[in-house]
Amino acid sequence: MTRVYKTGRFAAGLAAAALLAGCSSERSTPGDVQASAREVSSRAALVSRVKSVQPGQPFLVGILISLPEGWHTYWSNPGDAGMAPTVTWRPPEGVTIGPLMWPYPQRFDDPPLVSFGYEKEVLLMAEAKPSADLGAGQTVTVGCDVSWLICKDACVIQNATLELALPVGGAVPETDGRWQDVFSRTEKTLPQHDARWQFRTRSGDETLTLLVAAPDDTPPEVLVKSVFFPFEGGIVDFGTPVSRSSSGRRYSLVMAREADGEVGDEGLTGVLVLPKEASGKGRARALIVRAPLSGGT
Amino acid sequence: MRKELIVAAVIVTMAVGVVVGGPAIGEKAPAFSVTDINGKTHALSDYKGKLVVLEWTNYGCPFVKKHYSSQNMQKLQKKYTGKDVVWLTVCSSAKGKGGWMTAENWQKRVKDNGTASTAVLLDTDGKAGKAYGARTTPHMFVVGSDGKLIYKGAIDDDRSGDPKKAATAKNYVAAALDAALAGKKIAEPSTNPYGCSVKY
Repeated sequence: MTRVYKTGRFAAGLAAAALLAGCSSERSTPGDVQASAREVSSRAALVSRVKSVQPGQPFLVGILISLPEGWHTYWSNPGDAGMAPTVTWRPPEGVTIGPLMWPYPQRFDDPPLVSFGYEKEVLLMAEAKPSADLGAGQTVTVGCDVSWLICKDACVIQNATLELALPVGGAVPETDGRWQDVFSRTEKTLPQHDARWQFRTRSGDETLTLLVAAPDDTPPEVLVKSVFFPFEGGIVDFGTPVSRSSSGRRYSLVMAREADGEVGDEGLTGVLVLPKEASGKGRARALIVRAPLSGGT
Repeated sequence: MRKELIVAAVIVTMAVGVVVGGPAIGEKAPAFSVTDINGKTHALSDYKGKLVVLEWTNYGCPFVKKHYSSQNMQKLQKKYTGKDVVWLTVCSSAKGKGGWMTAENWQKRVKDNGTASTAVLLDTDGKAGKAYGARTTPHMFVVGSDGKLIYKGAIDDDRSGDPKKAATAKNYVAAALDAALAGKKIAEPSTNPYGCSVKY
């Protein structure tokens, strides 16, 4: 799929279900090294997996953010710097919108700083729940304001007001072929709970250790190649070298505690992303980690 | 039959060369000696006995612009330098990286936007920034009159880039300075900073 990035303000329609709104970026005032920031623009569209709304049947909507080559935007925890995209929904009467579902991020190392986010494209999905009382023939119009930061050497804030109009129909909705692929791909990148994996946190003076007990069928090399992304900032120092050790299906990831980084009884929480070779039948690529603090060391 | 694989402990250490750590609250604030935009050198030891604010900046960063276009930063600088607080604005952008400017351009921009800090320091080699663990612009630190770090983190609790929010957000730096000036305990001495990354 080819994407076109336009410079400056623009507004374009993508037809029917999706409406691509104009993005206005906050301009950088000219400095010595700011030129690149004035040339870029990322774009966002509010899209739906289905072409129509069936009363009472939840469906997925998403904000599709496309990024210029070399630029990235951020995860819910942006890391050392950056800003998570913010979305303010304006749902119509009879529709509620659930929380954003964040695909697992990738790590951007810009030594000594580390950030977490996405490049090229990301779909931030949310579940829309229409009331059973909606009448066929109505049109449901969901709106939202999105603000997201894109960074390369410089950073630019992007803002967009987006709208999506869908007809209400009685039948099971058809999927919208234009977005089917990106919704399916994105679903595979959502971190999952898997009770076969067990997590604990061990707290040291200067370290926090994530203890992982993997299911029996986990190849050991998967463990040493996995990457942990904490949900919260200010607890572990992402830029500090991490030591890992594994023995059988047990694995420990020792991270430097940030000066003043505190962790409660709930311990470390976040996402453990497994390497590609871990994916396959029935195996999650990214796991939700809830690692309660274990007593003693 | 598949053999049970027994793996001895494997230790892998990721090679990430440089570390941003920085002192904890209550620790001695790292010493530095950095030249300002007018060629004058400022060392932390020059300001012994005073409260010192360190404000990491990059005029090209939208989060810095949020606080300068709203005049929020200049107002804080004026208010607290008027109370004998030393306010050092620091840019750790490496030469050629985002936010880096020549001293002449800095002089012009500082005049244009009404920056009212004690001095604007050009930490081009990033030594001071890395010693404090400066990650973002803005990233704020307050050094107590005893030379110990008493605040580090965000300027306020509104993590957006919206200049309109600067006036109404809860300002952590003002709260820390007011408490320190009154000899009181700082309620929130460490917060998670937000902004663009420092362009080391």
